[in-house]
Amino acid sequence: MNDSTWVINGMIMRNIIKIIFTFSLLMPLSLSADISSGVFRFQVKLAEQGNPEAQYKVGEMYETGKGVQKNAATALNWFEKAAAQDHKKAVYKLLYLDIKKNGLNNHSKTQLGILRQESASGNPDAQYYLGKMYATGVGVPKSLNNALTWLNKATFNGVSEAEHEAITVEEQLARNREKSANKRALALEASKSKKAEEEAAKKKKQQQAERNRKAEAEKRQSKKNSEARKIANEKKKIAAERAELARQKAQLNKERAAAQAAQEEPEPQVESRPEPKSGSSSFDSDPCKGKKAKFLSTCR
Amino acid sequence: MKKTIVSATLMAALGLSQQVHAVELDGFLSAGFAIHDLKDSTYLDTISDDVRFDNDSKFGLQVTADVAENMQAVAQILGSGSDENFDMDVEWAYLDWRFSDSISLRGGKVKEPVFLISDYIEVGYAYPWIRPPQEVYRNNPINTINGLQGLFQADLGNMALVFQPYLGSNNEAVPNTNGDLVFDASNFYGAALQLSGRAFTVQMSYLSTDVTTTEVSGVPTAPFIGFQASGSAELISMGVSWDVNNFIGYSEYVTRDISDSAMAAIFPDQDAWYLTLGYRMGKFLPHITVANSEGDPEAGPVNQGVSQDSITLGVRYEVNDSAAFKFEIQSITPDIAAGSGGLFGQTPAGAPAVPADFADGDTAMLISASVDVIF
Repeated sequence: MNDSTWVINGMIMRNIIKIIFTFSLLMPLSLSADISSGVFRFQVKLAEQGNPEAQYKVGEMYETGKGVQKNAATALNWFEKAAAQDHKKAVYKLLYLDIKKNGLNNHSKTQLGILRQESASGNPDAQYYLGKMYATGVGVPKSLNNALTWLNKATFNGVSEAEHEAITVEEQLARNREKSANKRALALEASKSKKAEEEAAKKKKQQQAERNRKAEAEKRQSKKNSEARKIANEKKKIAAERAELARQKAQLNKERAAAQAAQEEPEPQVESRPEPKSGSSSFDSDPCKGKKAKFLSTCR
Repeated sequence: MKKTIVSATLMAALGLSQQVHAVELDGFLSAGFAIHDLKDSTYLDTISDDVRFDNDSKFGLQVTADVAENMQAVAQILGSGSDENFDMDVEWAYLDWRFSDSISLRGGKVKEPVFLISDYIEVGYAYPWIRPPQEVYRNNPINTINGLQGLFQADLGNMALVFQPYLGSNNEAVPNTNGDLVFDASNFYGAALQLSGRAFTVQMSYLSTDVTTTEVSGVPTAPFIGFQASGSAELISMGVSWDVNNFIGYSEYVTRDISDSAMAAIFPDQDAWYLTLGYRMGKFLPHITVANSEGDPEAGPVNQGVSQDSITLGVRYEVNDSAAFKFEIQSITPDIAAGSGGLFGQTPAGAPAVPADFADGDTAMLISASVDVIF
């Protein structure tokens, strides 16, 4: 054997190793499928022999598609066969599927009552299905807290599906709480925002009211000033009219006096100083007035 | 009854006949006191630092008798406290012949209208002060002359124009300002022109006279003694008074000019003025007067003239329409620096006009009060 021969052989070996490695990786899946398929075939044999537990298992395998093609109708058929033999799980399964599909009726209500009683009595399967009903809202008002209570009890009593279901419910609860918190935060934020908007609106309204009040006051003051100017102008006008009347009256009196003087032709007289305002007992600077006039040689 | 007896006596004194148609008798009286704060000095001859009633107390009677339709006899008998025992003198007495309403001629002892109130200077009731501002009024010691006086009156619309020329003499030994010189006045003539309106009076006056001293400090003077002075004196005055909306005012200015230097030495040139402002408030007339008199600084040693300033605050109260009460406080500042004691005189004779410690710029206070009535 030469070197090239060794090289070719090495390459083949590596390919073989690769194939073996790949097979080893795919082996478990293939094996699992083979196992499930085997389990299914084994369970079908038992079921066909009338074993209620096997009938229930076959029904579940048809329902979930494990080891066989998923088929809801066939699954239901096997569940009914098991239930006909008073297989509790099958009975609860059918009740669940019935209520989910058709809603509550008198029969299902009775069955649900029985389920509740059995759950309370400690039946793990009943507890599992009651929990599932609370989790999905089938036949009862949806309540994740109640669902978790019953699923935890079923898990404690050995129902492995219940544990899986409980985890799902807890996750849902967590999501709900998160949603709720977010919702509350949003609501709080919305409330704050709304309050801020209300405050802003209120402030704006107050500012508007203040502007309106000032505008109204200015308007009133302007009106008042206008009226005052009007009154002042009126007064001025009246005063001017009075002055004009007085002037006309004085002119008239003067003309009358002149006419009368022309008629009477009195002796020329010197107009004397005005009489003191305070009466005869005030000092009069005109020496030709009053009793003192008689002591003057130049008074007429 | 008493009035009739007095009238009859006066008429007899005036030599009036039984043809008198009507006799009117009017009287006036002033009773006042004054006191100043300069010891051993007299002011206006009689006022001292004791309360005295001499200067501003007087009593007068005026008789007016219609002699004929256009003729009147008028006389005024005056007794004053400055004369001893109120000796009654005929202040003036004249016969008034009225040619028309505008022209009159008077003969006898007449008053010369030198100043605004010369015509009624004795009637205290007729003017606001207790006595007219003496800085001006003392410049003419001759109140009356024996002679003739014309009176011409004309109406100018609302105003009246009065013209009063006069001439005559006075040989009654008139005392001068300080009372230490007596002289005669002859060739006395002058005129006054007065314009009066509703609320004002304006007057201008001029007089001229020859004066001869007859006595100095009680010693008769004669040419042979060597101390007799004579000369001519001129006096020009202007005055105005007004009464507008209760604001009353009087103001006058006078200047006296003595021609002969020897005469001027004992009877010096003078300039004087005053301004009085008052406001009538019912029965009260508060007033203030500022006055100034300046003597000739070149006057001789005998008489340095009258140089002084004064401020007078006064009030007149009308007791009724015939009586008035007056009160005045006067601050007088003689011009000591010019050698003048102002209107303060010497007492006793030969003593300084003001106390030796009275320095230039010092003031003397004069307080006066009087009651003036007419009846």
